[in-house]
Amino acid sequence: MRIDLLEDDPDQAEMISHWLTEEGHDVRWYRTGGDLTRALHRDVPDVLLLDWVLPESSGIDVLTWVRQSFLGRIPVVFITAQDSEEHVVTALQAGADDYLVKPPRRRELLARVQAVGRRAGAIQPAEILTGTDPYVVDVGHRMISLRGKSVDLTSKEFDLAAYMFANAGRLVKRGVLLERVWGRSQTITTRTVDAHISRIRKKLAIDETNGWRLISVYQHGYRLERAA
Amino acid sequence: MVDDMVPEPLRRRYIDTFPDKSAALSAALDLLANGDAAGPRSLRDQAHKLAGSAGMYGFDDVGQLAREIVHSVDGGTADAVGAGLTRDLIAILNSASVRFGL
Repeated sequence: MRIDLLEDDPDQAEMISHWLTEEGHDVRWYRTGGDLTRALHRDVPDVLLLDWVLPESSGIDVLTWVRQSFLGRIPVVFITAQDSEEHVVTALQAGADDYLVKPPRRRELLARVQAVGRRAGAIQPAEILTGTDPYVVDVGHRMISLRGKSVDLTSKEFDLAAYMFANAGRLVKRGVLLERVWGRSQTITTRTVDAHISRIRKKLAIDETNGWRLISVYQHGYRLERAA
Repeated sequence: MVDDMVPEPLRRRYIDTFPDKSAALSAALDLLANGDAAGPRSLRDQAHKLAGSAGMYGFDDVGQLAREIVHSVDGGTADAVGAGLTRDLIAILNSASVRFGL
């Protein structure tokens, strides 16, 4: 999703942006309400994350402007250190869709952003690959579970694993993986692919006991296949 | 104290700002000690930012103390309570700076 973040503190903005970017979101960071509202005139994001206390105008001012403007119903999540019940109620009554007290917790923040985006229709319904049992590869929610237990993967590890499952039984060249997972412009080597393959093999426990194997085909690439 | 989910370059960059954060808190403390009207506001601003960021980088103790300082300023006890908490916070930041080789 495209996410606009309004946060005046670079330390917090950097970490929040990192978490969201790692999950595959496209984040734009603004320090002031003025910068954000000017940008909103040009381009509307899928989700808006607002801090409350800002140098010029407050997050509530920005929220009020957004709700009264031509922008329609952008999902808005407050991330703020204002933790009193009064503040939460004020934000929700002003039109916020959700409210997180700082410091936000990574998984909770990602889940809440995902939830408001889903409710607003910014996220398509989950797409789940078929024929991958005992694994469930949920492309829509970017999640893989093994026998009902979610496996913690980085964004790239998920992309790589999902691509391998989507192409199960086929030989996939390293160059193709590089292009599909990291993109053409990245200065990543095939060694990175090898390292990630090794990690997903370990994290997902891809082995005979789970009915799969991820084999290396010398000088060509990798094949994920059912264990005989 | 340190969260494994925090990438090392980001954590390092955050730690590198501890001396500046400590200096800003000291300056706010001086304003407070001199009876400057801007003292409580300045102290609150510095603590507010730390309360928001420290926990994300794995420094929960720093964030908790910063939050208590914010509450003390909001509760009108910046002089009586906030100043002492701020000295504790400065000590933690300075100690961490030394520990991380700054």
